[in-house]
Amino acid sequence: MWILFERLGASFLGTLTDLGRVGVLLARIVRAFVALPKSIHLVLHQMRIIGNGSIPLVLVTSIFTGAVATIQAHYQFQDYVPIRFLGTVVAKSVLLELGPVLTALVVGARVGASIAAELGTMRVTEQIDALEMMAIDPTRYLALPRFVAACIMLPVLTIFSNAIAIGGGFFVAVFTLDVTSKTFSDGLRFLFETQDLWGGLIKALCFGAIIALSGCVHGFHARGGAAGVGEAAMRAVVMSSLLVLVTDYVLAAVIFQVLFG
Amino acid sequence: MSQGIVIQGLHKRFDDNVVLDGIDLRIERGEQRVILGRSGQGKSVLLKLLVGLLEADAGSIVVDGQEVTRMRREELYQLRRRFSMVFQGGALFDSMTILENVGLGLQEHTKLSDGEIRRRAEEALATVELVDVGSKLPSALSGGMRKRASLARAIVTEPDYILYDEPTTGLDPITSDAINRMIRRLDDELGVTSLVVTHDMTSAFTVGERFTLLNDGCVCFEGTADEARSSTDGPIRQFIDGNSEGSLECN
Repeated sequence: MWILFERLGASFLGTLTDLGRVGVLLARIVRAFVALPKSIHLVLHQMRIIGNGSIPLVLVTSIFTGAVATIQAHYQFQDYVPIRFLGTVVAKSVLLELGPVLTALVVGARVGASIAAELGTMRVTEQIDALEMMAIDPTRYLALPRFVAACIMLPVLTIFSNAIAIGGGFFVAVFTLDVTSKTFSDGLRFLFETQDLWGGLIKALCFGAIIALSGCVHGFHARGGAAGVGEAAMRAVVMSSLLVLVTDYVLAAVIFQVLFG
Repeated sequence: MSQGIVIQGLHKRFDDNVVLDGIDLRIERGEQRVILGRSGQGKSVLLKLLVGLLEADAGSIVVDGQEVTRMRREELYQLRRRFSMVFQGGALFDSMTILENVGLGLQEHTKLSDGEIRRRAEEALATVELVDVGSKLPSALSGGMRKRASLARAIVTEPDYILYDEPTTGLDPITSDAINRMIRRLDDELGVTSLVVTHDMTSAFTVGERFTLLNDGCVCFEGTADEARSSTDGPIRQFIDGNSEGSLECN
């Protein structure tokens, strides 16, 4: 019994430590922003890695997300809701929730793990110490470019995801559910609010920050060789996934009840 | 302002493991000091404490009159620009070419043109007898070549101090000798102060003028290379002979 409490306590303290490290790193990144012009080439490089590299993953995820959302909505509408609302529901759910959150989860798994593994390897092979020895701030040189690139590319990937998901939904509705293209398109436009799109993009920007911070924190604190790097990558993915879901709730409350309420 | 490095009462522990237990050390400018000791005796920790890569628990480290242990981050970065370090595994940035590795310090801290940085990086590589490897990634080089590239990265910024963390570990005897001679030549040519951490006595006698032997967190020998060589008993003799019986016990 005591062992259980000890483990729970240790896990709780570990989580608090990780969150504290995220806070400290964020503060350092904010302080390093004055040196952003010096790191533009690094930001562009990271944007290519995060953005271009994630496109195939986001493409496949989004097509099936839109397709499944359409089939599920169509099934639930039967006998209760007019089918002209199908496009409306698909658009709303994709723009507000599915696009930003699923993009963040899949990109978070790919990019968060990649950042943690790369920085973790640099940590255990003393490359980060070498940077420090050369009087190059690792926060400015390694974390800042990844943070800025993720904050820019997540909204871009989310816009791409939204378009593909809605396209996937349209395709399934028209070709498998006998919904006319006009009915689906009218539904898309019906009740469309620009703030739905903006709300989703604000979420995506925050998710980008979470993914970069999770990867950087666990990479910078990796210890003990290959096993340590593997664990850092795993913890980065777990942390970014959980924080994305928790932050999604907080942002939903803030954006749609306070800001656009 | 006193020149060189003065260490007094330096303590460092990791959890329950006391690594340095109040050591005192003085290293003059232009000196080639070798820090000896068995594995796990805090030699590499000492190097990292010198430049603030690790934080001391107690004690004082003064470099050219400046107290390192109380420096803020920005002051530490200013100090480190006068230092270079050759890490045990080379610590070359594996996503960059050798030329980019060597030129990074100049790119970050000077306003030199890309062409001039390239020229100086190539010159540093030539100094350590590395040619036609500038466009290669570190993973494409042998262990000895990586060490030499790391050496080139260390000298290109023309530092006052060079710290070597086990520069010959993992290398064959021939390559080790080449690296040792190169270190000695660079020290003589560039007039830098060097601290070499090693447990390889061949390397120590080739590169060092004065020796310091660390054991159980304390300095248990300090003297010139000749004094070490001519000693007939004590820890330094045991260490030179590689004898497992004596006051330097095997952990």
